[in-house]
Amino acid sequence: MRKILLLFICLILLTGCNSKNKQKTYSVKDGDKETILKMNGKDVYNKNQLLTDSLTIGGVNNIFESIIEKIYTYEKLEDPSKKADEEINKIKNQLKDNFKTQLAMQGFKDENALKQNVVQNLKIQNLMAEYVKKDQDKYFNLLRPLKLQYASFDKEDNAKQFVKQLKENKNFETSALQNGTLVDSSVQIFTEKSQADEKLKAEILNNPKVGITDIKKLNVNGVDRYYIINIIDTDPKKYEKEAILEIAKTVNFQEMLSHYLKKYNFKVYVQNLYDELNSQMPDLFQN
Amino acid sequence: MNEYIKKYWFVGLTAILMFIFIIAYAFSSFGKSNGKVSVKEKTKDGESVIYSLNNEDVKASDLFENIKNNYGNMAIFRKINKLIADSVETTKELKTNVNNVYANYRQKLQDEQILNEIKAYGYTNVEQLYDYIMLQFKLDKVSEQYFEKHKDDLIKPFVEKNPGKLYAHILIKVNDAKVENKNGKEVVTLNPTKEEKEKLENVLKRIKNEDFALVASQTSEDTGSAKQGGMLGYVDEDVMKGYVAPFAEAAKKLKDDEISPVVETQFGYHIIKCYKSDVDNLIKNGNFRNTYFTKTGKSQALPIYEKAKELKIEILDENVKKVFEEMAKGKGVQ
Repeated sequence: MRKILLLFICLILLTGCNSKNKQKTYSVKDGDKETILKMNGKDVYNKNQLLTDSLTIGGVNNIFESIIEKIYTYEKLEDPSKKADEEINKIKNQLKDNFKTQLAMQGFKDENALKQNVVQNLKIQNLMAEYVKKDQDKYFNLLRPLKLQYASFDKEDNAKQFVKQLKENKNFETSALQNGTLVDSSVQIFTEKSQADEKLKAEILNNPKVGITDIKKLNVNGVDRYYIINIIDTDPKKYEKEAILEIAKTVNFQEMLSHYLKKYNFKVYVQNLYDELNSQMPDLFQN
Repeated sequence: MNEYIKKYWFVGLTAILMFIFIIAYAFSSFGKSNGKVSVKEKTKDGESVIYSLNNEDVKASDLFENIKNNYGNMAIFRKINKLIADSVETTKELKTNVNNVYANYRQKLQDEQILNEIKAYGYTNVEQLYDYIMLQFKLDKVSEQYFEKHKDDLIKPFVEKNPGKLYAHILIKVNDAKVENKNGKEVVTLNPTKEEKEKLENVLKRIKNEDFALVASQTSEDTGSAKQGGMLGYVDEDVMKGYVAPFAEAAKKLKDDEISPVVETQFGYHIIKCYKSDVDNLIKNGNFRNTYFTKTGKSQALPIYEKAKELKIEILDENVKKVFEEMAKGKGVQ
């Protein structure tokens, strides 16, 4: 009898070894009792199977929204609902009668679905800004954000006419538009990571001084362009909030997420979600 | 000796089993040291915990509605597809075809590329590519069965209204090609290089003895159609109008199973094949079926929808049921 018992134990151990290769399943409370599909009157698909399949199909996208939601609450950041309403109203005013058509074309069921999306994006934006804020001095030194505006013309005469108007105290942005500027000439925060031609970047960031420059002729992609730059301020402490928001746009989302996940001791209990996160953020699970 | 074995046989057997166990364990640990970490699952109140943050457990039920809204429909339709595919017999011919495609993909694509492609269908390892291909072949069979079933009431009237044929071609490009207008007619002059001429000779020699589709897939420089054995699909009058004149004129002259002489166009040399285009042959052709759905405005989900009804597949979620019905009617995402 003892011999048989010993053999039985050995067999159980071996079976345990083998079962490691089976696909894992996940369950929601009483999910096996709730049928989703029947065939010929028999249950063939339940809530637990749907959960397991969806976790495989959607991977980490299944949990990102909920994670952002939780981190946002822990960080006690401002509720972005009001700002979302403002942004939606702005879109409504721009699109007028086309608003509903555009909504459907973008795949939103209704205005509420759009709002949820805008709120989620604003939350990510605010979390990014918060992430930059904690190391703002480092970012300010590294990216040297400047407050400026600039205009670009393809003809020298237009550039000269523009400079003449500036000397007559005309508004920079309005005059730039009147003379056919090729770029957005509104006031902006410009950093090392701003999207601009490298020659122009060097011109702006190399020893910047407050004031309006002369006409700078630069050859961009084999074409001559005439630039006039108005540097408004070089001390980011004076435009801290705007500078942080601009820098936040250039920060990697995964880098930010990884920081907060570590901060709040994130643990995941679903194998494929772990594998996916581990490949996207290799340092996340390192102790 | 025999007595000794009789007395201690269980010790030997236990030792062998333990040895197997140790080896298996060592292998599984080796897997982990290669970077694969096995995640410890967690359950709470009878359900899975998906993740925890700030020591707060997030259970499956906390996320279920969100997960269902985002990926639930996809998971349900995949399951319906699978149930339908399971109803199709796995014939020897089907296995051979699937094996060929499987071997071809495994040869051409990296494991990671394959996994990315099939992951969206709920598969988790590269070997399941075989199941994925088998599923696609079986669903194609279901589509074919639908066309067979509706041959007389839908397909024949469609073909009568939109007469056409199945064509394939092989293209050998000629870089130095001139098109001149002479007396209102476009005249093509080709100045092929030695290499271009040799390519053409090689193709002409091969199509005498080999399968046209195989030669097309290996030699045609029309890369789009080459992937499908040179197949251009169901070409009716409307489609024919889009082809350059010398090509269209040569194609129209062909009877079923005929191959054209070399046709010169501004793109180079073409050799055209007209496939047997009676209704029985057409309904076996995926290109024809696509043309049918496009021209009639009917949904490609219709064969699946009808088959699901036939198999008495019942969707208990009202929203998903509605989406499925709308898909079959040609509304919404397919």
